[in-house]
Amino acid sequence: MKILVVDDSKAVHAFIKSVFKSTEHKLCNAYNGVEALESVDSEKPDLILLDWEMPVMDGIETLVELRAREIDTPVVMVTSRNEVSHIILALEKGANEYVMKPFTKEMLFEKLAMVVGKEVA
Amino acid sequence: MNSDDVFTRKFAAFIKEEVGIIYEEDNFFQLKKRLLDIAQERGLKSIKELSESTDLAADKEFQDMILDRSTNNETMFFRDRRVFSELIKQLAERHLESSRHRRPFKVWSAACSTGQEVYSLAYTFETLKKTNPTFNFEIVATDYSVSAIEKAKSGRYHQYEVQRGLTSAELVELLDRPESEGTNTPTDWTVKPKFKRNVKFQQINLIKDWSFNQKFDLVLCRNVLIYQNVESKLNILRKIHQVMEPDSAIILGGTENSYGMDGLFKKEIKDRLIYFLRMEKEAKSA
Repeated sequence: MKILVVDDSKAVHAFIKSVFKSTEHKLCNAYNGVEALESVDSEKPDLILLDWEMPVMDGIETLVELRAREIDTPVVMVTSRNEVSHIILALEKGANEYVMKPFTKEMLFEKLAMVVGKEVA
Repeated sequence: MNSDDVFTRKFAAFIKEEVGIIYEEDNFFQLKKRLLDIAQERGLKSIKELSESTDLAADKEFQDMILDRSTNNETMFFRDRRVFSELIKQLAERHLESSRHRRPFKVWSAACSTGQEVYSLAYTFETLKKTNPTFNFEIVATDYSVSAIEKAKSGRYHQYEVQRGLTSAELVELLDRPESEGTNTPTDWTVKPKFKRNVKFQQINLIKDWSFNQKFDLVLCRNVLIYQNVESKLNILRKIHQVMEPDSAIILGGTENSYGMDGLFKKEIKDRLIYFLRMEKEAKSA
């Protein structure tokens, strides 16, 4: 599975890279929403991990744009925004799952398994 | 054998006596590590010092803490999801189709730990009620641990806990979280009143004396009996059998076998999910 990781934090990219190190999944990176939309076109990922707060174009704007373009690639929001209203908004806008930071490897794998319907570890 | 081994054995004997969990050669190191952690948290250097720091027989608070920390409280919402989404849902629907459908479906969560199983049950049943408004249920939730029961009753969970087992849609339906008003410290999530109203909690130690003034249609006793020896396991199952309605069911943990249950319960398998139907009378052994 090819996974696009969209986050403006290099530390988050490094952590997610370490999480997937022992798996067969391939990662590609973007650091804001505009880069993410370009990567979706060029890389054709199977799954997108999407931060909320980013420069240039934030995660929700990116999500809305993806769905407006009728791109139905599963999106898992991975964000430090952790209010009920944030989760509801993201789900309404077309996110498939929502992971609140800080998170563990197990939590991320569980949520991804819920989205793709099989183990991802 | 060093002095820590001697005192670890003393704690192991206490744990076996209180909750029936057996620490032997293959898992002795686990208990030792947990006891050493407790000792270090209290500024003590060894299990011997921990043992000598208080009177285990008289210090109830210390007893509870030792039992909590030395037993496996691993739990999560919808642990083994299909047990809830398929098996328990089907057993509840069977109740709806039975002659007992006018009274509540009575469920006992016999080792509810910190409550995630209980609220997963309540969520499953409240979801069923949406399409079957006449369906009613009552859940009795018990555990030997006073602190686990207190937490279960409070229905309050840390952000880490609510991210185990629940989909995000289930999370926002089952739990609420006060807005944190700009602080960086997330407040706990709390189970909504709707999912607590049909649940009663009480402290019960399965290996000690206990009784109920009611019988149950479904008992969940998951991942408890694996820690008991055969004799203790059978004693618990015989007592559970007595508080079950005719034609009721019990669900054990996914890896727990039915050894020794002949005559009490009949094993059923539905789509690879295992449960046990109560048999009317215990068969006399030859």
